[in-house]
Amino acid sequence: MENLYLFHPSSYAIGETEKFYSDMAAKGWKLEERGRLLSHFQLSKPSKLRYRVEIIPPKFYEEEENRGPTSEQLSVFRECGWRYVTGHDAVHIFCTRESNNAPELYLEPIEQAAPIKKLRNRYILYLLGALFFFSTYADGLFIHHSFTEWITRHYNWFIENPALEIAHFSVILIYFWFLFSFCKGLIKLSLLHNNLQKGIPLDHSPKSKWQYSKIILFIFVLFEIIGLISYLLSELFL
Amino acid sequence: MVNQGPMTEATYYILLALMKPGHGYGMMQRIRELSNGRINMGPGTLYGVLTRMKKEGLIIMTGEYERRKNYHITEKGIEALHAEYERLKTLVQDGKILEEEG
Repeated sequence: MENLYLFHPSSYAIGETEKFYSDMAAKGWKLEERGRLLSHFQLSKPSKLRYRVEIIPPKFYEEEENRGPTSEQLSVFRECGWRYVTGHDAVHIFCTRESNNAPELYLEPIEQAAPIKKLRNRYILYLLGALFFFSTYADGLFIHHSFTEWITRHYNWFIENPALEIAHFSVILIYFWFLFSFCKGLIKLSLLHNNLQKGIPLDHSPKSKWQYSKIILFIFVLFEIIGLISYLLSELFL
Repeated sequence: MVNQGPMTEATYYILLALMKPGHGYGMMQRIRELSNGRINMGPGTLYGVLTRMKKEGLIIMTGEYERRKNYHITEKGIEALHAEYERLKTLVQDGKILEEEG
């Protein structure tokens, strides 16, 4: 197997992301591409690489090919020993060999505060969007039914059609997973921004069990898929 | 004379370094020399300050050589640098009473 696709930490987990990619490189898996949820690795010889995240939030009017670091930024970073690897949305990854002794991207914590603040503001928008979505769902729900009626109705549906109800319930769980993730991201980025402003540097190797969160999301999505497939099969063959 | 607020240390040293046209890594080394090793700048900081100074018209990018972007200080940048130097000299001058008071 020469290619590997794995979940990576969320965009707010900057130190965890850097450690994740460095650990993978040490095991012989070099980062090729970062997507929304998954990162693509290619088999290579184990190497001691330092990965660093650079936050470059795209402007909404920017076309896809113009997003990310400018040629000027790539030039300055490259001269200082940092190679651009990949990026998705606001998260862009640079890498250098440990032996290069390249200077850190930011030597004073406060210098990194501005881009972190921009990312934090995006999480405020994500959270507001999720809450607005919930309010429209809950509004329709509770205007026409009480919560007890809602529970009873869904229990009856579960008896009649468990597969579809599992799929429906999985959607709700996935929604709450994202809502929780946005809240966690907002809190973490706010704390990080405050720390950077106080001169406390970002921890590039934090101890964190971020993988469990992604496994939970994977399980919810799996239930969703199994529920939908079971329902469709039951409709086709019964 | 350019009327401006105080300059950050990073801006001041980058403008000072660009009295001789230069490129990214060369600038970082020059800043280290000018400050006797006191100022170390990361590429993230350097790029951020260069972008801001270009917007303010203090520097321009003059071209590219061997994939390196070269920068040059403008007349406005030289004026701003001299103004900042005079401001810093005034501060030191005014602070001389500290030496007199021992």
